[in-house]
Order: sequence, then C-alpha cells, then structure tokens
Amino acid sequence: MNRKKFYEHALNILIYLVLFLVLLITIIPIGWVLSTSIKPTAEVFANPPRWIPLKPTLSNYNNVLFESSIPNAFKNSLLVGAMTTFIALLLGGSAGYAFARFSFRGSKVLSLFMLISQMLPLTVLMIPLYYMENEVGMVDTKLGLAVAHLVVSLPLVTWMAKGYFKGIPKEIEEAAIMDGCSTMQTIIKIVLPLLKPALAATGIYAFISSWNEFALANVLTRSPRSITVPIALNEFSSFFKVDWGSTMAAAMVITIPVIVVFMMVQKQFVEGLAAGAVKG
Amino acid sequence: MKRQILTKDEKKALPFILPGVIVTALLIAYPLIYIFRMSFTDQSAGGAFAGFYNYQRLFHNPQFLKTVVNTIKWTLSTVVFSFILGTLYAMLIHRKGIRFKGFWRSIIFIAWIIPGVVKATAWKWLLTTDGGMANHILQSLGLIKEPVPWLTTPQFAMLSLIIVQIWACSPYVMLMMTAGLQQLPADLYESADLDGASWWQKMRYITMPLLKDISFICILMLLVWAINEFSLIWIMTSGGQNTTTLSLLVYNQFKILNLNGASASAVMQLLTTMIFAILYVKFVIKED
Repeated sequence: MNRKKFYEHALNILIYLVLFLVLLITIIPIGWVLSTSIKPTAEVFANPPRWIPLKPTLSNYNNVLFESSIPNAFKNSLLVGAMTTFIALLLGGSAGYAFARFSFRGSKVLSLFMLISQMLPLTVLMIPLYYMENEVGMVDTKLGLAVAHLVVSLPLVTWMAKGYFKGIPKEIEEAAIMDGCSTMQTIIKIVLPLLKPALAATGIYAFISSWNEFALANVLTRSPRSITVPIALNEFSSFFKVDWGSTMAAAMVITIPVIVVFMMVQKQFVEGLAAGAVKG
Repeated sequence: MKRQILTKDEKKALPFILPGVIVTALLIAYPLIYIFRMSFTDQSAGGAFAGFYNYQRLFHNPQFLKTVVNTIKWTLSTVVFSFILGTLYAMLIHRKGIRFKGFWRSIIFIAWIIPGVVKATAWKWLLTTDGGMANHILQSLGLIKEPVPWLTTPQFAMLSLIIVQIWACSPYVMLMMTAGLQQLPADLYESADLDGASWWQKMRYITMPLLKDISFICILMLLVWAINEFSLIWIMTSGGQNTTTLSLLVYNQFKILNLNGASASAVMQLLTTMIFAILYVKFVIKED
C-alpha cells in the first residue's frame, strides 16, 4: 500500500513538471512580446537577449498610442466588429429561431449549409468577394469589410442560436401566447431575456472573430479609412527594418482587450464550445 | 378551395428566415458559384469558356505538386501532434489529485485566444535567427551549437510553422477533451475500480469509447483549419522557403492577378475542405 502511495506521489510530481513545462512553452512567446514591448530601442537587439530590460520604458507604447496607425485601426476594428455583430445577431438570431421553432421545406438543407459555411476557406471566398465589392465601390470601406465578415459571423451565430432556442421548451412560448401575447411579444419579453447570457457570448464570439480576422481584411482594406488592427500590426512587422519594440507594444494593445473579454465569458464560452460539439 | 402554397408554419417562418437566407445566398452561395464558373473560363482571354484548361495547366505546374505535398505534410503533422498533445494536457490536468486545475487550463486557454496575427508576429520575432530568443534559449540549454535559421531556409521553415501551429491548436483540443472528460460518468470508473480494472483497461473500455465522438469532431476541425490556415503562414514566411500550402497558392496567384490559376486552385482547396466538412455534416445528422 505504501509503495503504491509513493508511486502515486512520484507520478503526480512528474505530471506537475510536465504541466509546468507546457506552461512555460505557452507563456514564453507572450512573455517575450511583453518584454520586448518595454525595451528601449538600444536593448531590443541586445546579444545575448535579456528577459528583463535594464531600462524599462513605455516609449514604445507612447509611439504606438500617439504616433502610429494603431489608434485609428483600433477605431475601425471596433466599428467593423460592431456592425458585423449587430447584423449577424439580428439575421442569424432570427434564422436560428425559425430553424428551432418551425418546420418548413428546405429547413434541413439550409441549416446544414450554415454548418458547412463555417468551414469554407476564406482564401476561396476572398476572390469573388473582392470583385463583387469592387463593383459596388465597397472595397476599402468599413461597411464593406463588415459585410464580408458576415461570411464568418452569420453562419456561426445562426448555428449557435438554433441550439440555444431549441433548448427553451416550446411550452413556455405557448403559455405566453395563450395569455394573449403576440409572437413578437413572446420573443422579446419571454425568450430573449432567458437567452441573454448565451446570446451575449455568441455576439462576443462574432465580434472577436471579426477583430482577429486577417485574410479578408488583407484584401478588402488598404487605406487608413478601413484598415483593422491585424492589418496595422502586420504593416508594423513588414518594414525592411522592423521596429520590434513598437511592434510588440502594438501586439499587446491589440491582444489585451481580447483576453479581458474572453476571461469574462470563459465559462459560457467553454460550455458553448462543448455543447456545440456534443449536440451538433 | 384555394390551394395553399405555404403551410401555416412556413408562413410564420418566412419573415424570420428570409433575410438570413438572402444574405447567405449573396455572400456565400453566389461567391462559390462565381469562383467555380471562373475556373472554367480563360480570364486572360476576356473570360471565354475554357473547359478544363485551367485545371490541366494547374496539374502540370510543378509548383502545384509541391504545394500539394506541402499541404499534406503541414496538415497531417499539425493535426496529429495537436490532437495528441492537447488530449495529453487534458488528461493530465483532469487526473485525480492534480491541483489548480482551473489555473493550468486558463493559462493554456490564453495561447488559443490571442489573435492569430499576434501569434504569428510574436513567433516571427521569437524565431529570428540572430538575437532571437528561441535560439538563445536552445543555445543556453546546449541543445544547439549554432543559431538555427528557422524561417529563412527551406530546411527549417516548414518545421517552424508546424511547431507554431501545434502550439496554437493544441489548447483547443485541450478545451474540447476537458469538456469530454468532465462528462464521463464517475460511477462507471468506481465500479471498474471495484472490479479491479487496470488503468489501461479503464482507458481502453471506458474512456476511449466515450470520447470517440468528441475526438472525431476535434480532428475534423483541426483538419479543416490546417487546410484553410492563411495568416500564420503568410505573416511568418509568405509561403517562401517551400512553405506554400493550398491557401497560400490561391492568394499568391490572386495577388499577381493570375486568375486562371487562382480560381482553379481555389476550387481544389474548396473540394479538399469539403471532404471533411461533409464528414462533419454526416456526423451531425447521425447525432440528430
């Protein structure tokens, strides 16, 4: 018995070591971004590289926040994300409701098309989308990019909303209608309040996928009036002589909002991910 | 009596479903038809019908064959290792007696949620040949003698990208498998313990069968993501040093306005992804 206990202990210690190693590998890139972002230019290329700068500075952040394309791109990203999320929640939410509540011809085909759409390569869609938007003068506009991002967010929201609405017993709605509510009133007063947290998480997910999206934005934006943060960051690191200190400060500025938001909805998000996978 | 075109339910569903359907048709279905049609025309000859000409040219292009080999290498290795490592993390953290479960999971979770562009840029900096942190760490550990030119030689570029993709995707597997493990019924394990089942027997006869579905989903998603991955490769190598995969080939041809090649390779990429997408859909239908 004692030997078994000893063996268990040794195994646990080994596991902690492995987990610690995984933790290091996970955070080294992030730590290195942070470390570089607070280094003065002279120290960025110091050889050997140092983890803790000798003279930590916020000048890179100052540069990024006041003298670069980032604040403008940040604003563009917020607007593009807000527009695409709003449209996706409105259209995808109601489509999801129809899939969950009504039986109609084509319902199955349509909902499966929404599922497949989530797996389409954006490099394939980008070519037609570019020419279509070019035709109507929407290339290099925030609205144009927001519309293109619906390719990602609309199928996602529809599919997730369908699952959420299915989870609400039909009887609740029927009771409300018996009490004299119209369909619209039932949805607004009864169903939506029940789903507020779930729909908020879905919206946040749609927003973040727009915030992070690179491939479409890379083709559909080109000037300060529409470039989003991923594009602005990539421009930072594409110069012949890269200013890595400022690049990493920009990377931090883009990442922090995402991490904060995700941490707030982590529980719902993980549950949604798992439920989506198990139930389809 | 008047014949009903729409049933009562359909009439109710229409206003809910129609706007979404119109937008989807315009933004997803139409572009798919568009690229498909484009691939059968000669864009350098004003878009005249060209049959399979673009595909013939593509298949005889040595760059395309290289791209296919790269895509297979990239996809298989990232999927296999992300899946194995992610599952391993999930199981280690899930183990009875391991503390701070939430902490370990949250840290790994962070690696997944940071924007793809940030991941790629951070790793590009980390893997710089001279004065890069990765080489410095490996050198001080004595694992390498000379700095390794990670992203600037064909010998290492693909390997570097694969490592970064595994780093980026294994947290997703960890999350999914954790969710799967948490749904396993504890009493099954208790009765197996009472019957004196070994660790391997519990693994083989309880854990593995019950995690089959979620593993299937995970692997399909990883496959699709690997084939579709663009930003990571584009930012780190731009497809140089023999790292062009299908999505890079499509983009690079599009960029130089070789629309014949771009549309034909786009259709090839689409068909490849769709194999896995259809498997996924079949699985979902079965579950329903």
